[in-house]
Amino acid sequence: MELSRDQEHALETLLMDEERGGDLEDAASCAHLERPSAEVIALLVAGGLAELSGERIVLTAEGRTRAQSVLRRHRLTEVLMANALGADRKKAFDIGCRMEHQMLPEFVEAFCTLLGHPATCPHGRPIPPGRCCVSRRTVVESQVIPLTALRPGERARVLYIQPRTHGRLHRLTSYGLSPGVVVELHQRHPAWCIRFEGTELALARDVAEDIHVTRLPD
Amino acid sequence: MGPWARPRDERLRGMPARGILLLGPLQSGKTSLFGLLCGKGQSEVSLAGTSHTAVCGSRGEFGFIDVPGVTTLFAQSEEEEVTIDALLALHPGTLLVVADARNLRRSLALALMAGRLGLPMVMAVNFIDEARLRGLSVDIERLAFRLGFPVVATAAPDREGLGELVKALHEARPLRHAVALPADLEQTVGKVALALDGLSTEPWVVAALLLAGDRLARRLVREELGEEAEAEVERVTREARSAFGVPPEVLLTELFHEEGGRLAAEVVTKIGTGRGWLEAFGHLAQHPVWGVPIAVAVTAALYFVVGVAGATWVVDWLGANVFDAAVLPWLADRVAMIPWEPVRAALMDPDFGIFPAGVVLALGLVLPVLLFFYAAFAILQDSGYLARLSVLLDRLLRVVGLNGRGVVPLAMGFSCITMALLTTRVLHTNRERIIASLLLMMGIPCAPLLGMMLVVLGPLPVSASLFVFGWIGFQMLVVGVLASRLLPGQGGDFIMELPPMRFPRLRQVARMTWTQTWRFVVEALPFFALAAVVLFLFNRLGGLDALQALAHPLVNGVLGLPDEAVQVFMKTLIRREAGATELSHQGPAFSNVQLVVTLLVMTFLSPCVNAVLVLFKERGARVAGLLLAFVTAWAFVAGALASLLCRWFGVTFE
Repeated sequence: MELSRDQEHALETLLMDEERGGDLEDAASCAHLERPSAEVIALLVAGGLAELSGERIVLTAEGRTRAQSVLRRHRLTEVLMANALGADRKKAFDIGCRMEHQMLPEFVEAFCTLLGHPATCPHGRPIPPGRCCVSRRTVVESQVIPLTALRPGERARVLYIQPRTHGRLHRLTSYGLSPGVVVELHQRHPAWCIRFEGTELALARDVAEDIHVTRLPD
Repeated sequence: MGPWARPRDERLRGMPARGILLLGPLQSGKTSLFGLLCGKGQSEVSLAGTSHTAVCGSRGEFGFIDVPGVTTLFAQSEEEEVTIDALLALHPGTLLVVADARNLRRSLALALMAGRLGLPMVMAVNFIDEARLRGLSVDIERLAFRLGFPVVATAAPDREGLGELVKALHEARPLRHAVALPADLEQTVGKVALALDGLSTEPWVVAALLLAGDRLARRLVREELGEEAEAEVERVTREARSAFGVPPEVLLTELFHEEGGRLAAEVVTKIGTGRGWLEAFGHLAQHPVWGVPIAVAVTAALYFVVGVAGATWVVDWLGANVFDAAVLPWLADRVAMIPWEPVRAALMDPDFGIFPAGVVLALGLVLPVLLFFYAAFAILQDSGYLARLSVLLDRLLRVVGLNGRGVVPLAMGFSCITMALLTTRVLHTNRERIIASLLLMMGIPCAPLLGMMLVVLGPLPVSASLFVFGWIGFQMLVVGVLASRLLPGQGGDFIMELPPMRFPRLRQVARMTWTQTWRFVVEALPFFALAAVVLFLFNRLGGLDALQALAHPLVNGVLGLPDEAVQVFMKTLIRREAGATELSHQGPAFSNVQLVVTLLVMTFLSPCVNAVLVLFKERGARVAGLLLAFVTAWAFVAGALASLLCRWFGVTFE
């Protein structure tokens, strides 16, 4: 189910409440959030994400997973802002509050990997780990690679050419090498030799580097 | 005839009205096809206001116009504007689309868009031979059926399909294949086209160009419809354009390319992988390891053909049976009738006369060598091997600031430095041309010199040959590396098309050999004559004697060579192989080390006067002067160093 901004905030607050073992009021103020309203809590309970346990509202298993995912996005953003870009912690927190709702889940792993799988946020609280953290992935797989990253025999589609000089672009396109063309690499040394349609070109390394492609399956 | 019968535009005056415009992408062989169609009757017409020219020619009743290659009608460079200019202002009667069979998609995209002009069209699918060698088969009939106008497969250099193409020009028809565009795009273009009522060119195309912000289309509207209409059209265009997030020309280009791709997929089939043994050989030839023995074998073969067969057998035969036996005595008889001695000497002096040292040298010695070299070179080029060699040597040449393209002028240097200096034009940047000129001037022995060097080195131990060629190679590397570090500017890009490997075609080889040799006769022969005159005057004025006296301490003291060496160097300056001939004459006066050092200095010393004159012509006085001064100084430094090293280490080459 799609969660609203308020619902995500409520989940986050509940998780932090658990984390601190304190009362909800404390968690909410610590997180600079409003105490979740009764309507929002009711929606969470109705959605099976939270439940009443005696006097307290606690997360269900599914609710915890969702909450961890929100909190992870929030704290990763904080790390980016505070540690990598040098924003102060308050500002980092505010931006985190906005980004956590907007970041697409499929990018979170690449984002986390780029930051080096941080374990804690700038405030010292734990960042819920993702799959990428468990496997200690270090490389973000990019779909857009320079031609030089291809292996002989591989086929790729040209996405764009970012030439260092205009003359270079002109020369390449004059041979019909332009975005959309499917090329096959068949030699890397002493020069990059590619074939597309009925044309075969030999390119120096620096020229081949300017051509960005995406690998095609065999 | 309508108002368009004559080119309305002043700038295009002289071009045939209602001519056949050759339209095609770059590298589609458009210009060579044009050359075959029109033969010699071509004239260049410059477009005033731009630095560009279009070429016109005719064949029988047809007039042809060749314009720069384009991939779309939306011009992106000044060069491409010339093409659009010609299309709009010249009102061609027919479009001859020159398509590239190796790469049909972009050609078809262009044809589909140009088809919107509504003009009768014909298509030549060029490079059909190379496409076949690549294992591609093009269904010409199907393509013609789909497009609705005649399509002919051609292979320009072989003249394949040429007759058929000329016949097809009589049956030109407008494009029948409509590209369906999205309704909103079609409406937008249509809206602008409506405002263009009364235009002589198909409004749809002009509207599309206007939407792309084309200034030539705007000019057309202003000229034909007046300024008021232009303002109105501009308003409509701006409005229509703002409705699109992506510029309409980008959308149009994509759509036409998509359709071109669909058509290409329909008519092109891959028959076999095209990987025959010739192609396998091509791959080996550019392989970093296997390519080396192949290159060595090819060089050896080249040396045999040019150095032995051309430079020795043919030159000797020509010298003995034609020039010495008939031509020179005949000339001497005629010249003897001239009453004035200085003129007689200027013409016939055995060392400096225009005939013996200029014309006969050029025709009797250099020309046959070049003829053999060009033939061998044409075979390498036409077979596709030369491009592979360029790939193989790219890295090596990069060390000296050149790239794979440098192979052609440097290899040419082994036949004639003068011609090689002219060939440096194939290099893309001035920096590369200077480096190539430097290396050529400095260390590459031309075929006649190489031949004589081998004669001198023959009786000496092998170590002497190894030392001479090793030292030359080493010096070239040192100077090349230094030059590439010191010279400002950037190296050119190495982007090289690899033609398919094939058996050399006899006609092509003959044509290339003839063209190059003719170019030598036209471009270099006058320099041979001029050089002879300059040297004759210099000698008459006592310049050579003075120079000899001046050089004496240097040659004798620093280089440790006998006095006779001065004579040798003097002759070397006149023509390199003459110096070597002198050296083999004077041989007994030299020790083996002295022979080696003399050969080295001769090689490094500025090549013959012809080359120097061409150097000044090609590189300009400043650069040429600097190069010359450097090369001469370096010759003596490198020679002295070699002489010193040999003496220190007690090397005698005995």
